[in-house]
This record gives sequence, C-alpha cells and structure tokens, in this order.
Amino acid sequence: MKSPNVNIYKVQMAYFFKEKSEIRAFGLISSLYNQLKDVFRTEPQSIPIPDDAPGDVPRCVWNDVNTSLTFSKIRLNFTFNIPSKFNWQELFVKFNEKIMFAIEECDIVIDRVGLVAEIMSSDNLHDLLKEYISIEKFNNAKEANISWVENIQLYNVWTYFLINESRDENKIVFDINSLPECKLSEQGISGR
Amino acid sequence: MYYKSNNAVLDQSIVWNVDAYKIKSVVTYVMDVLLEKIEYPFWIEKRIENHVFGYNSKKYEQLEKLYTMAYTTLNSLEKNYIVTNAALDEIAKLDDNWNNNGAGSFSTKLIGKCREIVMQLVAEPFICPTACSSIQFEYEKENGEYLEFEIYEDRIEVFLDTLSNGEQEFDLKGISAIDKMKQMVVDFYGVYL
Repeated sequence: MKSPNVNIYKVQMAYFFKEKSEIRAFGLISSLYNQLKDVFRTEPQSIPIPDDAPGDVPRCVWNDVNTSLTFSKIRLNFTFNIPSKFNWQELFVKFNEKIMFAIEECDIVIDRVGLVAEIMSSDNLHDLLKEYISIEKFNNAKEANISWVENIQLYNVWTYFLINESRDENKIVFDINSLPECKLSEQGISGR
Repeated sequence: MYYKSNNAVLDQSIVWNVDAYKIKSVVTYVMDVLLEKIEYPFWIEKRIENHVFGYNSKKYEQLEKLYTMAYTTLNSLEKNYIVTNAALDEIAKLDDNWNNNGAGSFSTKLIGKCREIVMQLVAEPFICPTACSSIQFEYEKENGEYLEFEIYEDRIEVFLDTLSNGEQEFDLKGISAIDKMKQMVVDFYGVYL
C-alpha cells in the first residue's frame, strides 16, 4: 500500500493503576505539579471527592491549550497536541519520564498502559483506500471508516481510518493498549 | 457588541421529549445491577409488590451526588466555547446590508462549517463577520503575535504575524485545510518543556 504523507498531531497517554492501589490524590497532584509546572501555564484543579468514593470518579483535572491531564484512582490520562517544530517522540519520552517520576514518587504501581495517536494526512485517505478496496458503496460514500485490530507482542493495536468528506475529516488513529492479562507489574516492567 | 452576546444560548429553554421518570427508573436499575447494591435478596418480588424498582436509594443518591460533583467540575473546565457559538448564532441572523454598506448575509453552509471548525480548535477564537461574506477567527498573544483565519465556504485565508517569522499570508484548501488550521493554532500556542 502506498504510504500516505502523514503527521502526528495529538497523543493521549493512559496509565492504569494496579487494582486497590493506595492512592492519595493530593500527594499525586503535588508530585505531578512539581514535574509539570513548567509544561502547564495553569494550575491543577483538585476535585473535592470523599476518600471512599468509587475509584473511577475523577480527582484532578489540569487543562491548558495544548496539554490536558486528568486522573482518578484507577487511571491517569495525559493528552498533548504536537506543534509542528517538535518531534512527537521527543515530547512523548519527556512527558512520560515526568509523569512516571511523579507516579513512582507516590509508590503507585502501573498495571497497564495505553497510547492513542491521532495522525493528520495531507493526502486524501479515501482516494488512497479506493485503490485497494473495490466496494462500490464504500468507494462512492461521503463518509468511510475502516478499522482493524492486531496483537503485537503484549499489545492490542487498533488502527482506524476516519474519513468524512462533508466535514473535511481525514485522519488515522492508532489506539495501542497493553493486554489486561499481561499486567506490567507482574512482569517486573514499569510504565517507562 | 452584538456578536459578543451569549443571551441566545442562555435563554434557550429545555424541552423534554422523553419520559424522564422512565429513564431514571432504567438508569437506577442498571446502576443497581452493575454496582451490586441491591438492598433486598428477593428484589424481584419486592418490586412487583411495591410497583416500584427496589434499590438502595441512600447509596444510589450518594453516588449520584459524587459523580455529579466531579463531572460538573470537569465540564466547567472543558472547552465548550459558549461565547464563540453564541457569536455564530448572531452572525447567522444577519440580513443583507447588515453593515449599512452593502455586505451580504452568511450562508447556512458557511455557518455550519464554522461550527464544525470551532469545536475542533484547541483554543477559543474571537470571531466576527466580514464585509466580504467570510467569518474571521482571531487569536492574539500578549507579546503581540497574531493569527487570523478568514473562513469562506471553499477556502481558508490565513494571516500570521509572529516575532520570529514576521507577517505571512496564504490560503488553505482541500480536504486537509481544517486539519492544517487546527495545527496552526497548536503551533501558535506551542508547548513548554
């Protein structure tokens, strides 16, 4: 298949904490703040939730124009947009280091990790797919989506082609998640 | 100014087309099953007897309050662009000659395109109508750097003035035009390391 001319413009990193982890929200906010205070020009907002509230209730939200972080007692999400002059891998490694440092400082164990990368294409993806897919309704549609999942080592990799010509949507999304049955903590692997 | 008003959004009344009680009952039932918070061992019989769904109302109400509290805070910090959407509502209402100088009104297609774009942007723009039937999106930073998009039905005209590269003007066209515009807003604000 001819490779489209693409550019990664948004990445979401997800860290799933080990079940029944002892997580003190204020401690984690404080550690994250120390690591990311130069990345965000805003302050993190702690959400006043009782300690015994369900684990999936968000405890903190921290938004800026190009960066966003939220966490509950189950998971932490960090999203960043990638300015053109930055290398996405460099940003990813630096942000991951900072977040992992904060998480480890609070003695929290990571069981699973996930990564969603949104990719912009300057080529028309539908035209590209039409060369390989000959389904009349697909080829003539204004809206065409195709997706599949692959198992690569310990990871599930979903690939999505999302095309909506009336909304000028034309993107590829990779959604990569470590498998639930392959817990990182049981293999001596950290989220790093 | 008319395009800064958000009364149009604030004044909208909420119309319920569905039976809210039924929805609440179903949600309650699902929550009970998922959270295993059923109060009575013979809950089915209890329900039939009482003609109501049996559930641990105290626990459910506590949970409902917690989730509402958390998500209200989250939503208040989300990028919902109320001012921009209200401005688009106002622009959509403009008739021909709205500026008393012969300017035309704005097509539904253009307004729709702008609404699509707005919700994809990482920062809320200041928007205003122009006399040449386009809608202008503006960003300005404290250091004087300026980014402007003029949205037409078939293209996006860009004007960028930065400290590093000075003034630049060009057009964005084709299927990736909106993606490129989104990327320009990301670039304008940058990332700090």
